[in-house]
Amino acid sequence: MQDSIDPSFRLRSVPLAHINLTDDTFRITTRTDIKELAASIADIGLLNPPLIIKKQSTFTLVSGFRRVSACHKLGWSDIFTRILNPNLSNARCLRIAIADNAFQRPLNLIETSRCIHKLLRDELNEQQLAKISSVLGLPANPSVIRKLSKLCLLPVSIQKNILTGTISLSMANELESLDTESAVALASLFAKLKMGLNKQREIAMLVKEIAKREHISPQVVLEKAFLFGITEDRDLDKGQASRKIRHFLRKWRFPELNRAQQHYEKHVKNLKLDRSIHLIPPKDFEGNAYTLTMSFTNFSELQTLRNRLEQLTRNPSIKAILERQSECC
Amino acid sequence: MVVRNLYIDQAVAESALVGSISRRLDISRDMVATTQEVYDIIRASKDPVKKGKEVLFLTRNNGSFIKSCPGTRSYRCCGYKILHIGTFCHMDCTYCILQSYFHPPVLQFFVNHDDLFDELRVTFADNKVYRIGTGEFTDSLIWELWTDLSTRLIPEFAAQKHAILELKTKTTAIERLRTLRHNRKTVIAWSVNTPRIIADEERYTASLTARLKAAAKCASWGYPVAFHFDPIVIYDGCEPDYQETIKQLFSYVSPEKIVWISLGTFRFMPSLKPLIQKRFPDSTIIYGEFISGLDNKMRYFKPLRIGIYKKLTAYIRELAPQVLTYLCMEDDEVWHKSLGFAPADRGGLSRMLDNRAINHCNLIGE
Repeated sequence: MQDSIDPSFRLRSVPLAHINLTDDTFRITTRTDIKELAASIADIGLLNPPLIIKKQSTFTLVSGFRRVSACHKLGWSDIFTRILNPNLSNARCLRIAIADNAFQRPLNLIETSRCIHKLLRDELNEQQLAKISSVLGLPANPSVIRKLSKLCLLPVSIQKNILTGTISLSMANELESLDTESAVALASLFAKLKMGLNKQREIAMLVKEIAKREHISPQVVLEKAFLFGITEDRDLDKGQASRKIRHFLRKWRFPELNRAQQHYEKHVKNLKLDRSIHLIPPKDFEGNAYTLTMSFTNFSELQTLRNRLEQLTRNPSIKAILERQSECC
Repeated sequence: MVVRNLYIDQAVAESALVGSISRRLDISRDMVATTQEVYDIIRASKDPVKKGKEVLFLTRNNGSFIKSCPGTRSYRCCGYKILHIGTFCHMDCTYCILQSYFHPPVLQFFVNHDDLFDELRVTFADNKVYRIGTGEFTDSLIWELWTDLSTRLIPEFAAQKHAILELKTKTTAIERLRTLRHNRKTVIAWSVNTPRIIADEERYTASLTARLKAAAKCASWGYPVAFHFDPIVIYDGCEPDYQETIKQLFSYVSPEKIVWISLGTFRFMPSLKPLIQKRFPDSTIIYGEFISGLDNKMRYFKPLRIGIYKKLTAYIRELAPQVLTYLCMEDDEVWHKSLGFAPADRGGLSRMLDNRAINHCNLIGE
């Protein structure tokens, strides 16, 4: 695994124009802001020279992407650099780039993912990768590595959602299984409505399952006019919109169950139950036992409840509920 | 799927049965000191379920061979007994519960048949009616390729009058049954489904027509036959498909040859869902309208189950009103609304099936 080439470098000033700024082979950082860094370099100079390596006629950046950009912005023509041995392999350069980043500051999820993804290009097996990751200050647990490895391949907008915390790692992993357009549409919905993970999970699952069942793209599910109607409705707050979307999707995913629920609610309404009586149906109408709870504070209330109960048993709606004469069935 | 490796438990290496199976399977074989060694090999695979279908492990059953079918209190169970001859299967149905039932699943065959037959004889001596089947933890007839189990089991059952053996299969491996003395004490049963479900969800199994032809052959050899519509899968257009399947069934086998037909809609432990999603990403079988049942298995929403049972029952009754049709693991409400009665009205499901076995297979009742 070890590269026998000496990884040492020479300190040398090179023209900035000779450094290829478009080659991202070894880019780890997700940060592109350079304003403060440029101000600092302008004030106290470049303390830590970037690492570069000669590749044909130009230099490829191994580490120090923001520093080079900042110097470029400052209008420097030359920059003091650390030039690596040109015979070093890409794999070795990558490890140097990762170590230079990871031991300076904590890497965010996308940066960690980039490191793992780039390391995986060397066709390492799980054990080899875990060993190298550990040495480079990256997570060594194979299941964590698997979860992180493809984050950096997600669309940029989702990567931004991950970095802002709108999309968690586990949700990001779910989005990986979708086509790009659908993943972006879902992530943007989550970001717009600032949903918690459980609600995100429910929506993602409903959308995926409806799409699978109906043989349509998840994006088509999301694009349904009703959904957009909700999200564009400025009168609805985020919580209400989220509830409406989930209700709409549940209704689509479980149409018969929803119809039975509506049938039940319609008849419960006909029963005109007051606050002291509660009727609870069996979960998903699977069992046969209904629960009736009554609350009272004195004998007179109890007698009133008894009369209410008698009235209840004569109400045709209670029969409709118990016999489940649902229109849907 | 093809069995590629044979693993032999060191403890049974000297068994004549092991020798005979090894000779029939011309594949690499390895001796193992413990079951764990086989489990480790399977678990190390990327797809342990697939791997579990590609190895055959010959070992002994250290527990009892006859077990009660695991029913639940919430649904009507038929009082079936399982003859535990082995586990898993080399066919590959998307919905197969065995994928998540065993940890890990291994195609395994128990070779201590002396113990098996001793236990059977003790059971027969009970003088109670038993319905015993080998098709719960495996397919009953896949073993015909490599073993002579059926040629021993069928005559053993034929020699007594209190129990029937049900061999449940999706194969057509029946040729060796032709000449056996069965005395109508063995029921050959097929799990049947619509051609679409067989094509989409039951990989490496026989086609519907092939299964029905095999059933017709067995019926012509005097065997009582049975059919299990399980799992019934609800999809757009499923009703005419099931109607056609039922028509086809009775065009091959006349009703008087059939002991019973069971109906059971698709149900599964929640742990099976991610497994199906991973192993069969194109399958949509798990995206029906499932709710969590009282036994914690996912089941179709009750009115949907009732709806499909009513249809299938009507199709069957139209062509074969005399055939006993029963529901597998459903409650009284579903029975009433689908079949018009609950098992308790007729002495209980177990009794109904026992009586059918007594009359159809010439058993002596209790």
